[in-house]
Amino acid sequence: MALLNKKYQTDFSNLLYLGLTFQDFAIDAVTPLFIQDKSGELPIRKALLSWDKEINDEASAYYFLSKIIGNRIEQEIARKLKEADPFFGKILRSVNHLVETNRINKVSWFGVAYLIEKGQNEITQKPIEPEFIESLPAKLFIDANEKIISSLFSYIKTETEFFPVIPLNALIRKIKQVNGSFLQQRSSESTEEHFEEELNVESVVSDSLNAVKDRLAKLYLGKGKLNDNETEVFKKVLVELSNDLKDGGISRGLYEYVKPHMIDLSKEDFYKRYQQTLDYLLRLLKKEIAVRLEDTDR
Amino acid sequence: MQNHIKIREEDIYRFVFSPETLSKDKFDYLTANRERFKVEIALCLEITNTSNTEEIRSLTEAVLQKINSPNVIKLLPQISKPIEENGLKLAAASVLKEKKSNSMSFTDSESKYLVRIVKTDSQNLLYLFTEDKTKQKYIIKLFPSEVEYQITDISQPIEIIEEKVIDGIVLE
Repeated sequence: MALLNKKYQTDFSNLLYLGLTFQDFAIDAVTPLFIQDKSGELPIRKALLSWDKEINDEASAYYFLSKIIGNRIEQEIARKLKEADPFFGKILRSVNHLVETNRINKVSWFGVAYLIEKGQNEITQKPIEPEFIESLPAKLFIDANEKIISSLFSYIKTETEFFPVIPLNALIRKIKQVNGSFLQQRSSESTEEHFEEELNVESVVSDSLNAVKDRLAKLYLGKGKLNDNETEVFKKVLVELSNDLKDGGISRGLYEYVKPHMIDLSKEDFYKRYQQTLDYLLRLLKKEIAVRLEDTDR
Repeated sequence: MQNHIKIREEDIYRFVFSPETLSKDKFDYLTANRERFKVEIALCLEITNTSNTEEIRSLTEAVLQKINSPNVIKLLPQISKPIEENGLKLAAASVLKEKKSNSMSFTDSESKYLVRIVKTDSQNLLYLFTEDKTKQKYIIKLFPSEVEYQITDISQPIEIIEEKVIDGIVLE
């Protein structure tokens, strides 16, 4: 809970629409450590056996537990952010590609994932806080991802007194925010020269939205599961959801999107009549966007 | 960046919990630079300050309940026994065969719950069957994707996004 409160407020705000609380999230993140995996082992025990430092006092015990739990929280947050926002997933894949091809490394500091320069594998001084990325000039983020990262390392070294590492999730949010409609597209074929071209997010979203609207008309209106009026409301809501996905991400519950179009709709009725359908259509919209974004990886 | 002394994450835990085990130069440095590391130090202190609070006790209880809960039902793919005749295995009614027919079934160890996923040309529908009619609302988690769905009325199927592989389902 302390880690979530202190380190993940911003990330978590992008997941509020899921209706999750910090408590739910903490339970979901920690529980798998205590459930036997396929080999019958407890993950927490495995982690303990592979821990290469001594645990012989309060400090080393807290350090071990915080490191293990921090890693679980970081994994769970990344998974949920990817699921919630296909654009976040797209940029994350591109950055992870740089990690996988050993052009940069990934480390963690108090439960937060940071990028570190090639050849280094630990943080040995105070790193910047994730919020610091928000305050950096936008011009640093308009380039190919590898160049952005390289410029940021230089910027942190020359302009600040912090250790040169970059908080991963904050970086991705900033790249998305600065580049808006045009994201950098990675070519997976290139391993030496980094080739990237601009990707038109507007057209990806528009094509995806049309695919979902077609489905809505065919399977829900066409089969009488929704009437004309309900279908129109759903179309409007899907447009609003797609706009939010492009911009900051979905930050309110689905009921909040529908309510302005159906003034008399109670929360209870929404959950009874529409939640499941709208939840499915939103998942479908994200999947359609993700598939089109993945196609651009190839 | 100034040429500071090296401070690793573990050093900050030592500074807060077992300062006597920290080297003097690191201890002096962290004491003089408390402000610089205030977020990290505050986080360590919060861990101790909250470790015995009502909130943490209830979270621990919730985790324990989730680990041992009889309400968590694990379902695995249903594999039909091959029909044997004169020692020869005939048509193997297996998961693979079910996949070809575009449906998959999952059951728990006591066969009290059955989840059937039916893929038609245009939809993937998930049905939940159980004799227990006392509960209508379930959270369904698909593995390995860990995608979650909520079902609020088990008399109706829910539409799901197609998964490449489903090797287990958890119901809560």
